[in-house]
Amino acid sequence: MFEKVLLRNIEIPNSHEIGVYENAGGYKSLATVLNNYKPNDLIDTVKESKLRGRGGAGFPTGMKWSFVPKDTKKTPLLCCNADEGEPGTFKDRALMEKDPHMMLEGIVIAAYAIGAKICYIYIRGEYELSINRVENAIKEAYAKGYLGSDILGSGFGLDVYIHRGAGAYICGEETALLESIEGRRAQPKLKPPFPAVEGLYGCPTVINNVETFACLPHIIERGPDWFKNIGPKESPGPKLYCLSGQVKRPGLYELPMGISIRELVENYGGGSCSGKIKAVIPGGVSAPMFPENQLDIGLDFNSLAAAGSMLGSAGVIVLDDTTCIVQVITRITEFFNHESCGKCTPCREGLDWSAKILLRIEAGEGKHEDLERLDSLCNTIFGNSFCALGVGASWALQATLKHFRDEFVQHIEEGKCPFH
Amino acid sequence: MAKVTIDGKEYEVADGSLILEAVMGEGIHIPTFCYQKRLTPLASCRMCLVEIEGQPKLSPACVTRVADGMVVNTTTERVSNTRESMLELLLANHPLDCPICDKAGECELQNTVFEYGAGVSSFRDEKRVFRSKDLSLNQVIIFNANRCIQCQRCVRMCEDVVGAVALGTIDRGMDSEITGFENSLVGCDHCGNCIEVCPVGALMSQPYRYTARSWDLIETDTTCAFCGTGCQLSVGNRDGKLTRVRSKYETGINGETLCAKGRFGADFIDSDDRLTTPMVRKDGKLFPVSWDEAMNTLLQLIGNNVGMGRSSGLVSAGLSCETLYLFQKMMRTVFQTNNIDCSNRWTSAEEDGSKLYDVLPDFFNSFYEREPLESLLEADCVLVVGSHVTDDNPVTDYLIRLSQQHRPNRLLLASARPSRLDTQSVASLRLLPGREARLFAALEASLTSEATGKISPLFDAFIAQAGALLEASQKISILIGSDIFRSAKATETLLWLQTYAITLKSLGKRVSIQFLFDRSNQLGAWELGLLPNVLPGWHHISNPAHRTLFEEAWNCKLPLTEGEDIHGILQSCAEGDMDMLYCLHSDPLSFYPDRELVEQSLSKVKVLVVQASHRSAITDRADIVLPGAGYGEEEGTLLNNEGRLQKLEKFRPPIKSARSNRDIFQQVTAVLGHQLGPCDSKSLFTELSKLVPSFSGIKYTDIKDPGSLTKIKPDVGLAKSTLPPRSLPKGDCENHPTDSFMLITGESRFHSGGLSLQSETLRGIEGEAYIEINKEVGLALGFQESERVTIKSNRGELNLPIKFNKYFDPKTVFIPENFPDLHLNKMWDKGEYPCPVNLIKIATA
Amino acid sequence: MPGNLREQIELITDRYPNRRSAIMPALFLAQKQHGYLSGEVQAQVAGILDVPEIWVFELATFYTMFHTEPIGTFHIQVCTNVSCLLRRADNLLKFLENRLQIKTGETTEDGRFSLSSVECLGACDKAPALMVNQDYFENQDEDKIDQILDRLSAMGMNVSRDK
Ligand SMILES: Cc1cc2nc3c(=O)[nH]c(=O)nc-3n(C[C@H](O)[C@H](O)[C@H](O)COP(=O)(O)O)c2cc1C
Ligand code: SF4
Ligand code: FES
Repeated sequence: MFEKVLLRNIEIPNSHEIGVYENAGGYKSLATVLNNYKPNDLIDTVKESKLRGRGGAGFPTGMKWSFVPKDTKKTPLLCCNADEGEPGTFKDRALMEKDPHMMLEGIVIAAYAIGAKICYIYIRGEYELSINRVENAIKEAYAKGYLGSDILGSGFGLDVYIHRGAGAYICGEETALLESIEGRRAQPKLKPPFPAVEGLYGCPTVINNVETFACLPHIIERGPDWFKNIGPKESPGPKLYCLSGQVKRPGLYELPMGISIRELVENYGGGSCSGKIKAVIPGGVSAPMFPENQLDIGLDFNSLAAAGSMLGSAGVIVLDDTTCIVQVITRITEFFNHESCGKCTPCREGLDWSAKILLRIEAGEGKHEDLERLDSLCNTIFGNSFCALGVGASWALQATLKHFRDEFVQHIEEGKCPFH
Repeated sequence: MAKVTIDGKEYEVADGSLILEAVMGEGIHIPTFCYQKRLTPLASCRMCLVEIEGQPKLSPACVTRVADGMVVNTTTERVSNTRESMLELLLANHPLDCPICDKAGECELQNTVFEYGAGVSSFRDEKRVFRSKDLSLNQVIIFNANRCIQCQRCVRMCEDVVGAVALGTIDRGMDSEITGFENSLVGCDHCGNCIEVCPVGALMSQPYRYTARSWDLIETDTTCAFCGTGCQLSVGNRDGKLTRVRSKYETGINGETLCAKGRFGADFIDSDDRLTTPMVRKDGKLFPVSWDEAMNTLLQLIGNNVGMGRSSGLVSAGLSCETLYLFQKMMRTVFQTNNIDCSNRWTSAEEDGSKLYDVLPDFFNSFYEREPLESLLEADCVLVVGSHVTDDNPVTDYLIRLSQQHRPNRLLLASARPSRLDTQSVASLRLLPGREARLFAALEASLTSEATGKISPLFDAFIAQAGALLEASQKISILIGSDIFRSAKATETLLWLQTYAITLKSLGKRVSIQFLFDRSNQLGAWELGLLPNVLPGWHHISNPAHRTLFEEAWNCKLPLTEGEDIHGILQSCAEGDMDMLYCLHSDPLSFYPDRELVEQSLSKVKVLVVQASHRSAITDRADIVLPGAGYGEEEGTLLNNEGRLQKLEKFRPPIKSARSNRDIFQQVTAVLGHQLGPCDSKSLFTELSKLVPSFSGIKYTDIKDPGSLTKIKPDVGLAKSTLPPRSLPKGDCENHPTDSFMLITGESRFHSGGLSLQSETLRGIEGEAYIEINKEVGLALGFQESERVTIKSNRGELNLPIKFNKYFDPKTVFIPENFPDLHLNKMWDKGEYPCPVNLIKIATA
Repeated sequence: MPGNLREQIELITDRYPNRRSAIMPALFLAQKQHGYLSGEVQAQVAGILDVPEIWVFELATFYTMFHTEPIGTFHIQVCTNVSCLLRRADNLLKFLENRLQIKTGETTEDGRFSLSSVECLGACDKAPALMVNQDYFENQDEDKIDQILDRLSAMGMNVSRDK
């Protein structure tokens, strides 16, 4: 059995309380950092661990931190991305509900590394319990001196505030998230300047995911070597996988990076409901799905990228053979269409037309040309949209059209959905 | 410089320039929708995607900067296919209702499709329809959401440039829709800049709607005559009827922007109050007559008095240089008088008996900077005094706002009314007219660390902040608003301004001073001698050499003595010392701040000649009414605040029996047995450019966009006076009677002088005056928004609706000056400005 | 929550360097108090924060959790995204439509129930999932929904909107 690290406390009753967290060794890493590390050493340590962001893009965390200019007049800011909107993903919710202090400790460590004095935690609005638990954890941390103007007597200070999302998936995109905090419509912003240089309120800003923060105390506690020796070399560490869909034992699994899709689904998830897998989405619905014969790919950033998909948010969704692929991709496209912020032409207009056409095909009213139209829409959106939402949406559709073209054709030729 | 290869050819372009702007200079065209030079870049429409070698994705040319060695391709198959697809997507949901769309013919979408589109759409599902009927957002703006392509130019224009923040985008994704709060823009600036930048027919002008097809319009590029900013605009005519005004991208100081007055006010030329025929008074009533009869009457009435110097002329400073020049020439040569002045000064004579016109020549020859506003705004510190820029000179307000975008923290504001620029300033101060000298004295003292004594906490705090910024600044620009001319301390203010400027200069700083005039040709009027003491070009009446120059040029003798200014003129009339008053497009009865005095003058003056384009209070009192050409009916030039000469074009002949103003002068002169010389604008300009040093070297035909900047020649004009040491300004800054308010006036955002009230459109936007007051104070007094209350001064009272403004000074109230029927000038005691007033709730029956 | 809306909003503005940032939290507070964000309420928020009204309108309509129209006392939000769809959330939605006799997106005539189909709620391993106001209900089936509805129906009409 792989030793649980990120989820080590969640079975303990009242795991969200500070006492439980402290008993399990919590906040020791913070003390270590404040006593023994200079910010630059800390950044180096995180670089050494090869920790890559757990929010989706897998950007090396230490490197991101090192982009914050050292000599700016504006104090850097820190943001925690807890917007978790990618369908199939529920890991951050679990961390916030069950062990908010692990994330908080990571936040203080990161703030120390980049010299931030304020951190905003952007939590999606639906996560009421997470909001309450994190809010409470913040209060507890202040009371214990883990937050505030002089943390553990080190002279380093940090204030943490929650900014509550209100139902917009795009707010997970980091620049849209910043716009949202600034009180604007959450539309992605032009890069460069990158947030690390000019982000929230014009200040250098680092944005990391909840799980990324949660990894930090462990890297300090056990050392970067421990971390980088778990899983593949370029994409190491313990990882939370969200398993859902037509699988016998859906749930949140902490496993080493790089475990294969098949192993996760069969060994941990107990196999698919019907016993026959049709396809698996490996990293939330933005990640192109794989048909059954490609399930031996490792669930890590590089392996999945090489295979034409991505680890994304590690939302692994299993589709068994009772499932209509057209219905699934139609729903996915409708999701992206609904969540498109509307800023750029290809995503705003292209997804709407894609959804209209898909709905028609699913309803048995498709024509053969529709498939070409979808191909060309994907081409127009992919790579040309302003942010990765459009890219993800078209990528997922493109892959589905490729792997399961027969099923689309069947819908068109039979004039109905063969599954319904 | 960076070496880049664009479409196979190598170019040297400025480092860091945008690919789009770099290729534009090379004649390569990349289609765009969301890009617009002044607006914050968005890169959202994705029309401008180009290929950069080594980059897997296409890059938006509108935001990508060139780098040395970059290889850019704008015409590959991939690029053109992508463009085609973007266009196809934009069209897929577009209603394609070009046959009934106002924008047809000048629609960027239509044009771009024509040039880059595939021509056919392969989408067959139903189009998105927001609503079947267009959304009327206010009197001038109407919106068709179905045509919108979400380029967000309008929203950025409204927020970043105009600063109104009235338009926004609601909902998201495919449902994103441009609109105002609760789908209304009733409270917006009505500037229509959102309409102007809309690339398609989504935002439309209500007055223009369905009146013409763009290709049926004859457009004339001309200059706006509503304020001293001097915007360029284009008047569209259909069969001789004015149909719309628009601004043009990157044209004039204003680029594509205008204000409500400029964009929607030009219809004043077709108002019912246009004077269309000469009239003379018979048995106490005015009767229409022929031009011959009018001239005969004139001869009968004043023939004998010509040359006796008992005549005087008042003009509007909104007329062209050529017309004004010819008028003063007529007054001086034919009527032998220097009693000439502009009528738009909102103050009765100066408190201490000093005369503004004594300081003007020196000021304009030594202190006024003729410089493009754009470069003036690049200063390290911009100090604005005595102007509600947002209302007085709206486009100047935009330019100030824009200049702050990339270099903020340079603006200082001291004005009686709060304005939108306050939020952009480092420090702002509410300062009543008449206290500006105090301000300059205090700023000066802060430089020399002299103690001036405490004035008030707010004032002192402003001086501290402003002083620090000014001290740290190398280049300083000072913009002075028309408010200072409303005070009876205008002369003292100007002298203190000069003193302050001299001190700044002595510290090695570069100082530029410009006025923000409310009238479009105030600078021109003064420059051309519409003053009692100076001849055109700031030549002094009492300087024999100067006089000789003109006597030779005009071939006649000139009156020797300085004339009276407007106050003196009216006073003389009232005392029965004036035989004739000639009002040229000016109405002192409505706008001179002592109505009683004007009443007396009019009853005593023997002959009142009024030459104007529109009926007004004064035409009703005239002995002879001469209908003169209105805006756009006579050509000439205007000199804006920057000292830039711009063309005023004629886009139609004077209506009905009205005549060109200069033709009228010629007729008047002829009937009196004199000659005035040629009066066509070209010959006139040649004549006056010989006499006005700052105009020399400028040819009439060379005046094209962006106009011609005039230059003061240091060796001509007047000798520079060294300023006498000034004593500290008298009067303290906090002399409010505690139980009353101080009433001030000025321009409304939607009106300019009295003329714009003749515009049906502007009248529709704002048809009645109001009392603006601090919201909390108003509420504490038990008033409600729009409730009518009585405002009472020692002299008079008015009933007007209340308008709340939470930023207003608690002790100041404001009534716009633009409503002649209101008789606002009843409220003032002579020279008492600002004027103490009380507000009284009207008892409800 | 103690104090009136203005006081509550003033408290949160301290967290941000400018007042515009406080629009979202202010809208949550206003919605809690008024049930939904009418134009009047939006204007009130704009007034308290001293920001242009259009900024408030923009946000009130961008985010799905803000309601600019009245919403039922109990807002039933069924996740119909992939993981829940794979567990037949579409059937649950139809079942709810039948029970409540309304279509998705509508509110019952008595104003008690509104039914929405929403995007992923982050409860995918316990699909199908739904929310009633702020509460999660996971691993749902028709029987469980029946029970929930019965319980909610039994509650008086004077239940506050936010719980
Ligand atoms: C459309 C879109 C949605 C996203 N949603 C999330 C999200 O819900 N949570 C998250 O942590 N990152 C999300 N991301 C990724 C973030 O933009 C960003 O990369 C991440 O928060 C950085 O944190 P990390 O470096 O710790 O991964 C999203 C990205 C895109 C393009
Ligand atoms: S890709 Fe979609 S979500 Fe991203 S900017 Fe464009 S419209 Fe907005
Ligand atoms: S002009 Fe470049 S993206 Fe619109």
